[in-house]
Order: sequence, then structure tokens, then C-alpha cells
Amino acid sequence: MSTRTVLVVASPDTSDQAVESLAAPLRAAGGDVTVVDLRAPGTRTATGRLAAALSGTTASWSAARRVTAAQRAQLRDAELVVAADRTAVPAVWRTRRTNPSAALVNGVPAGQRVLAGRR
Amino acid sequence: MTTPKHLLHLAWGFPPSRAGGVYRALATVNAFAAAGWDVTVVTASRETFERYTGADTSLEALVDPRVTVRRVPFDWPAQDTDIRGYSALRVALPPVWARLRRLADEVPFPEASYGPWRARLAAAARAVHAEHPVDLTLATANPHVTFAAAHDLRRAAGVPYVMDYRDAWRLDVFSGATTASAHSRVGRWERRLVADAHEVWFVNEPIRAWHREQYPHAADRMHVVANGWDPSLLEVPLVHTPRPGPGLRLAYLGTVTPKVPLAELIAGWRLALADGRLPAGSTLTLGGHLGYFAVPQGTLAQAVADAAADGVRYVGPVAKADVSRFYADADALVLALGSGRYVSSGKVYEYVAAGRPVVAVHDPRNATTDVLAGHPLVARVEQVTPAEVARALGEVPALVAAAPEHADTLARLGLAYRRDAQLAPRVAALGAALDGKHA
Repeated sequence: MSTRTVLVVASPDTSDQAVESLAAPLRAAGGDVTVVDLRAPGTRTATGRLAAALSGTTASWSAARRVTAAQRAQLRDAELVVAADRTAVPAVWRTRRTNPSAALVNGVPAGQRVLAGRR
Repeated sequence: MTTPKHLLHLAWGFPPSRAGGVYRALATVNAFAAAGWDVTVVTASRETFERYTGADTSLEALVDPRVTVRRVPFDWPAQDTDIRGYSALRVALPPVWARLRRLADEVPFPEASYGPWRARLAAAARAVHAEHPVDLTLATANPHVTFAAAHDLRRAAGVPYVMDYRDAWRLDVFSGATTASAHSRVGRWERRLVADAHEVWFVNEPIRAWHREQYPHAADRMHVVANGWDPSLLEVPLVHTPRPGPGLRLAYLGTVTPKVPLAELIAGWRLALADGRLPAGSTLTLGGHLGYFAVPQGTLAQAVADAAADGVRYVGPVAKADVSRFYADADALVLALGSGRYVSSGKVYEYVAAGRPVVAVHDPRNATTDVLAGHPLVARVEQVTPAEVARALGEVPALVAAAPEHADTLARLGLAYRRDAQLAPRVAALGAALDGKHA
């Protein structure tokens, strides 16, 4: 039986093609994958170390605030929630309040390991 | 009958770790065991590699059965992927959390992430020595905390130690810059470690030369023990699977780190395909992990995904048991490396042994160029730019056609670069030195 998996994507640098390539290995590992797309259109990560750290941090806060009611329901019902990028981490972290049982992991490889363990 | 000497090998990365340095550690302990030594390895727990770096369980079968492996737990909060366990500070202000974490890590030993491991590692080394007295410790780095544990055992019990540098500590092998001054904590530690070491090993001459300048009093104890290819991991001569179509099959195998010029390689690949320098239908297959760690590096994954339409395929990690098959399906190999004259590659030896034409996508000044000097089928770039990569890729059809007539030369070259051929002289010399000491 497939595992209800939500892949959260939030980095503005992630292309649509890349989103699909991130979801594919999770599907191959047995995940029934839904993508929660929190990317803010028209923004790019700043260059420069300090600027990138600041913009990355604030972007991750903003992404967590962009979660819609429908997306929140998907996160609540998931068995596995995967942050596809660093920007998605706060949104996934907040899921622990509404979904006390799902595995919340950082990165697709970690998601693959969880799915492999459930096979 | 003489009692076998006992080697204690301290290595963070050891099978089933899939990290690059593992092959050197594996070959080293096997070489000592084959030479009649009792060998005990102290390394990180199996779970460490499963959780943090990825594991290749097929490697464990390659450890000589006479080798004893003792595993020490290792915690790595920065690479922990369980978001449920993250603190609010880590989630809200990751740079601040990382900075505080680093400061805490470096209290026991000046090495981020690994510093806290010193106490456990040193305790394990002392326990091994108490159970079965150790004649020699060989510590391999990075991480350099293994050197500290070897030093601790020398101070406690007088056991001599060898430092095996796979890279360098105070030298950035990519930029050539000094990363820590001689007066820094790292500098003071390294001076003390080198001063007390029985031998210090490096993977290439440029790195040894740099260290000889820094520590002239220890110059005669410094040796180059180059990497090589492992006969147990590669079935040579490789078969060559037939091409399904007119296109050529190029392949890259290795961890794709941010230092690998992936963007230039892909841009050059597109250029060479677009103007016909490479035949239509050619493919570039990338095998290996994207980044060192379990936590993802999105830019690499995205670059590879975006190139899928241009015949670039990413097949993920390749288990060691499948490496021969991976090379068998390639007409030519792409050696894409970071720049810098101190940069060495473990993979280049395997590429030589594979007997395929090589496209060398790296700074011509780096140490790998010397390894390929005798290789008759190399397309080199003068600079790592898309145009130069495309030009070098354009040489591949002719090199592939010429490959059969160079098979004997490549076989001879491959034999010279076997890993055991690099290790055997030092293993023998250490045995003789210890015999002399005990006589």
C-alpha cells in the first residue's frame, strides 16, 4: 500500500521540471505524492552570503505563512511530509502541531529512506 | 614464532559509508591484514552512514575477515533530517543555530561537527589498547579528530601513530589558500600532531610539498601514498556493451559536489550536441550522490533535472558491486573535478583502469593531470569554460574510434595504478621500522 506523502517545495529557485524530478523518486519508492507548492512567483534568492542568509530565512517564514487551508488539510492527512528545500523547512515544522504522527523529514533522500523502511 | 603486530586504524568513514575516502581506508586495513598484522578499526556506527551520508552495504563484504571493526556512536545534529526534532531556533534562524552549534562543537577539538567525537574515539582507542596492546595507530583524515585520538593514545601509552591526510587541514586544496594561520588553534594542533607523528602520509606531491614547507623538521617523515584503483571493486578488463544507436555514451561517476563544474559541463555538453561535434542521440550519464550529505543541495539537483531534455541522465548512487557494469555501458568517461593544483582524484585511477577515453574537465594545473600524463586517449580543457568543454567533447568520437589500438598501453597503465601497489611499500617500511625498534 502506498504511503500518503506530501512534498513541500518553497525555494523560488526550484523550476517546475525540478519539482517533478524531486517527486519522481518518492513515487518510485512507494509514495502517493502530492506537491504543496509554496514558491513565491517572481522572486529569486539573493546573491552574497549575508544577503542570501537573510533572504533565505525571511523567505522561509513567508512560505510557511502562505500555506492555504487546502494545503494544511493535505499536510494534516499525510503519513510522510518531505521538505524539498531549506525554504520549506518552517512550513513542514509547523505541521507537527496538526499532524502528530507523520514523519517530517528534510530532503528527498530522507523521504526515500522513510518509504523504504515502510515497504 | 613472532607475535603479529597490532594496527589500530582510526577512521570516521569506513564501510558501509559510501564517502570517497572509504576506499582508501578499506584498502589500507586490508593491506595491513594481508601483511600479517592484527588490525582493529575504530569507526563511526553503521547508523551514522545510513542516516547522514548514505551507505553502500556491498562494501562491508570487502573488509578482510581478519579485521576487527569496533563502532563508536556519532551524533551529527547539523545533518539530522528529522524535522520534528528541530528546535524553534533552528527553524526560525538557521544561520544563528548553525553558528552556535559550531562554537559548541569546537570546544573539545577545533573541528566543526566532529569535535565532540574526540572523547568517545579516544576512549575506544584506549579500550582497544587495554584489550590487545597496539603497536601502531594509523589515523586517516578528514575528519582530523582522528589525529587527536591517535595523539591522545600516544600520550597515554606511548603508541606511535601515522597521520594519513586524504586532503589537507590548513590548506584549501581548491583555492590554495591557507585556511588557518600557524598561530590559530588549528595551527597549534597541527604543529603538535606532526611533530609527534611517526609518519605523515599525503595523496600527492603538491600537498606534501606544502606541508614540508610548513613543517621542515618533519619533512623526512612525510610520504606520498597515492590513491589507486581497487582490484576488488573493478573487474578488468571491462567488457564493452554494444551501443544501441549512433550516439555515444559518456559517463561521469562520483559524488557531484558543489566544487564539480557541473554547470560548465552541462553547458558545454549542450553546445557540442547542438553544433554536431557530438553525434545526435549521445547521452551523458551521471552516477553518484548529489552532494556529500543527506540534507539536499537543491541547485545540483535542479541543474541535472533541467538538462534531462539534452540527453543528460542522472541515475543516482551506483553501488560498488555495479560499478563495472556502469563503466561497461560507457564509450568514454568524463572526469569533472574542482580546480586547484593540490586537487587529487581517487576516481581518476578507476577511470584509467576502465580503459576508456577520458574527457578531463578540470583545471590543467591540478594534480590529476600527472596521473593522466601517460594516458593516450585524453581530451583536455585548457580552461573550465563551456566553450572549452564543448571543444574537448568534440574530440571524443575520434578517441573512441582509436581506443582499440591503445588497449595494451591502457592495460599497462592500469596495472601501475593499482591501490595495493601504492600501499605495499609503506606497509613493509612500517613493519620493518617497528621490528627495528623492538629488536
